[in-house]
Amino acid sequence: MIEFYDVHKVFPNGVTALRGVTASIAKGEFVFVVGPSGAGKSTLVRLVYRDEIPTSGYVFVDGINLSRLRPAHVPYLRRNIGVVFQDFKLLPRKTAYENVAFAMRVIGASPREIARRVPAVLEMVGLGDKAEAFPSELSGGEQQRVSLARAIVNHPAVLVADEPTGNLDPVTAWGIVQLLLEINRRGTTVVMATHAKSIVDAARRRVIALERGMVVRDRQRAEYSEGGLERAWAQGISAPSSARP
Amino acid sequence: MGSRYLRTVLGEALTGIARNGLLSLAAATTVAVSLFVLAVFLLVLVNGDHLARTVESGLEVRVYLRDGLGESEREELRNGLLGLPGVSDVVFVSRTEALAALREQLGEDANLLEGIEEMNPLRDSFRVTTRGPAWVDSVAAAARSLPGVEDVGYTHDLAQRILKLTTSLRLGGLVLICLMILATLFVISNTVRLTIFARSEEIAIMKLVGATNWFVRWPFIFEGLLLGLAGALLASVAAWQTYSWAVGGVYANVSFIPVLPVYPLTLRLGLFLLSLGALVGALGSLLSLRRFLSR
Repeated sequence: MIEFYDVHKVFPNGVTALRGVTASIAKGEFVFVVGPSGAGKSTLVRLVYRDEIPTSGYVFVDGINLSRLRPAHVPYLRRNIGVVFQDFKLLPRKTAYENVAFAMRVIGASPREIARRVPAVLEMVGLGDKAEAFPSELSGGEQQRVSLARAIVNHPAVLVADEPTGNLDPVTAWGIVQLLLEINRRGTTVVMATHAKSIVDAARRRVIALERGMVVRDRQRAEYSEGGLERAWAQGISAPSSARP
Repeated sequence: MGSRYLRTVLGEALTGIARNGLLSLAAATTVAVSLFVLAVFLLVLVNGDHLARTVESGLEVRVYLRDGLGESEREELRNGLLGLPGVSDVVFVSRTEALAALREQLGEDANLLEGIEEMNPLRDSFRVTTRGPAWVDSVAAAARSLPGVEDVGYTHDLAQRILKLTTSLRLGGLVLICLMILATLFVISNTVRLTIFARSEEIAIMKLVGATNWFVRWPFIFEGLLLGLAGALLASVAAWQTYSWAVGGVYANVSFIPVLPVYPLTLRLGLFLLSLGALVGALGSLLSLRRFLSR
């Protein structure tokens, strides 16, 4: 479903985010991308919905080379990929219902389809009774549920979540992750970038660990870290400061 | 464009305006004010041109006839004058008519003419109208050499001065109007840009959920168009009211200054403002969107 081949990413300001990442994610998998801040998690997931293009190497989604995808075709790629963010990115002047319906209107769905599908999705994320609320009237967890509903309303094959629980308390966060697991059970491939150790440890799914732009571990049914590596990370984080003159 | 798509686009544009109420109002007002300033400028310049035309058409060459010219000779001279390049009209003024006109001009001082009226020292003349102040010199010089002409009178300095004045007025006006239009375009497109910047996140989200660039553009283009039209409508009504009031004032107080009538001038101006507002509003949206849609 998603393949990375020796992906390097250097930003125009000279920061190197990824140094040769190779990984393959199969259809229907649930994958955590973990690592310390600045390890390249966010960059890696943004490559999937072509918010970024690799400096070298290739990213394939559903067999399509995203580096070669013409800009005019990007919208059609994105209709097959739901995205969820740490800051929800809801339209503040639209209600929960309108925010979800918006994603359907954009792809030209008929009003009948919209009227049928949106309440069902809101029901699924547990917000059946908050359809008419504006984002400012919802809690953080509820807003994230709206953004999840928006992400899956068009039945995408892939759901990308970039730190979806970063702004939420642990209980609410776990609720969101359970929703993601449910979405995955229904057949959607889920890629979630996170540094929430307790969530990753509890979910027991595939973990791709990044460090300084490289894959340092890729294991099924894993925990956030392994004994030796945790120390190595700690050293990795402190190394630059001790190397300073 | 399917009808459902069109409905979606129009709906997005209208809700966009409604839910960004204050910003939309501010934008429409800015457009209205800048277009109104442009309208006032245009009205002043169009009337300045009208005034210049009136003054120019008043410039004439007076050709005085030798005494005792016969009917046929006079007719020959008249045809000769009409044949000169740059002459638009030739009118015969008899010495009696000239005296009457002089008396009229003197008004209360007409008694100065007492005593000389019997012998009337004035000559018969032709009043020659030229096609513009630029022709006055050459017409006067040519007329002097025609048979039967005693003298040619015209105010050389005045003609030249008026010519210079109207020419520079028109040139300056043209430059000024171009600058004003540029400034107006700049203000309007910047205002529209502001409303778009305020919604850059909305655009990012539209792109994220898979909206094509044109799907993003159309509502904003319609919004810009509607804002431009609304502002232009305000400006047109204000300009029409102001001009009617000003023309009324001129007629009542300084009626010798020629002004253009309110219609059809203000109607044409309104149409111009409306199309300018709509065009710049839509175009401003389109151009401002470029940086958001580059990816």
